[in-house]
Amino acid sequence: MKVAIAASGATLDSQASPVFGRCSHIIVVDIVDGDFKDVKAIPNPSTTEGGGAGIKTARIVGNENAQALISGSVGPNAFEVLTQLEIKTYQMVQGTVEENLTLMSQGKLDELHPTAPRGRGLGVGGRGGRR
Amino acid sequence: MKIAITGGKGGTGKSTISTSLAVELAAGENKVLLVDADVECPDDHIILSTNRKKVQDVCTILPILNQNKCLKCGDCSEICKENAIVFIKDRYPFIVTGQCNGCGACILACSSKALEKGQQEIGAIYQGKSKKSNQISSENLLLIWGEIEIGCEATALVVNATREYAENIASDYDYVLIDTAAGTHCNVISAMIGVDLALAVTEPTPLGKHDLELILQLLQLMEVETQIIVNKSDIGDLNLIDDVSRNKNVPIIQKIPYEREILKKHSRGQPVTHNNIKKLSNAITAKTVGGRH
Repeated sequence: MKVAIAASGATLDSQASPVFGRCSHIIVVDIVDGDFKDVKAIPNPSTTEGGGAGIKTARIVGNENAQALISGSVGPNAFEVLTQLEIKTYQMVQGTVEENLTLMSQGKLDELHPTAPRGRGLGVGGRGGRR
Repeated sequence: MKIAITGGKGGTGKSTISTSLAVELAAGENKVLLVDADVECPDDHIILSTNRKKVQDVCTILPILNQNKCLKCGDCSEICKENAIVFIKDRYPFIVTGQCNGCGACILACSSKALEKGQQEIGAIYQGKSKKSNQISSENLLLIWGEIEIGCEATALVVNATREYAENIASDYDYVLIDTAAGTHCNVISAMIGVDLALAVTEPTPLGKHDLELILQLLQLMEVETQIIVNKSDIGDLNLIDDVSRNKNVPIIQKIPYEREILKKHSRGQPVTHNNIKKLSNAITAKTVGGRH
């Protein structure tokens, strides 16, 4: 099964990322009988997006034909995209990418549900300015 | 005469002073149009206890995909600055409606004309007249406000539509008061374009001072005559605001003290009346005899 994971670095011993849209890398792995094959680390270009970073990152996951995603959280817009693409999302546990992939291959990760209300992502281009 | 009530910092009393000033001006037999341009949380209608009547929907373009014409090229997704169109190779693109700001670039970019102009409701314009007729002559005071749909980010369109609606009826009024959002961003600028006077409401705190300086800078660029109102003037350090007034050469025309009576009226849902706001109203009417410009 092809699995994508939001990561804080480019290698299997990097920490899994608690955020999705602005994670540093998406690591894609083909899990075959508990082995990790075709490991690919994709730098995430959305880290500086003003808005819609999650949507853009979900596109990367979709373009890699991943069947599942592991992340700490997924915003509502990204969640909508992942649902449309029929990609299931799983809640990461604190630890490395490898540890999470191992748990995933053992079926020990929980499914993830969307968090914040729509249209209120972590956008760095905040349009409010209220204090 | 068009007056913007602004100030930079949130919570300084812009809406309190806007509503009170509107009530005072209306009590002086002026026809007053109060425009609440803080579309993310308009609350003048709560302070004035008005009724609430929708007068116009605010809509924006929403692209709608005709799959029969779509070539799955991905140009629409590529051009979208809001990342509102998701394209995955060999699939039909789809639109994340909440993210779309209605710019229409995707419709122009689509070479096969597969995207059609649909509509998305993003907000509405309301009007209200005070229900408590004993306090406010509803003949003389009309409130207009814009409200954005919850979760929608395209607030500028609602602010502009609200301003436009107000402009169309402004000639029937002696005074148009525009209560802006906090900050110095586009929506505050849109609310203040073309006003004759801006009242910068601040408070004597370091943050009040900081944001006052920002809004005064903005108003200077916009070449709008500006006066400062210090709310909660007897708490904090008034020297902070005096310094700004002196350095920027913008007069402090009124100070409103921090009084229990004001809070009481506010929490009862009554417009705050205070002698200093009456004085402010008088100063404005004295300056513009007859009101109409």
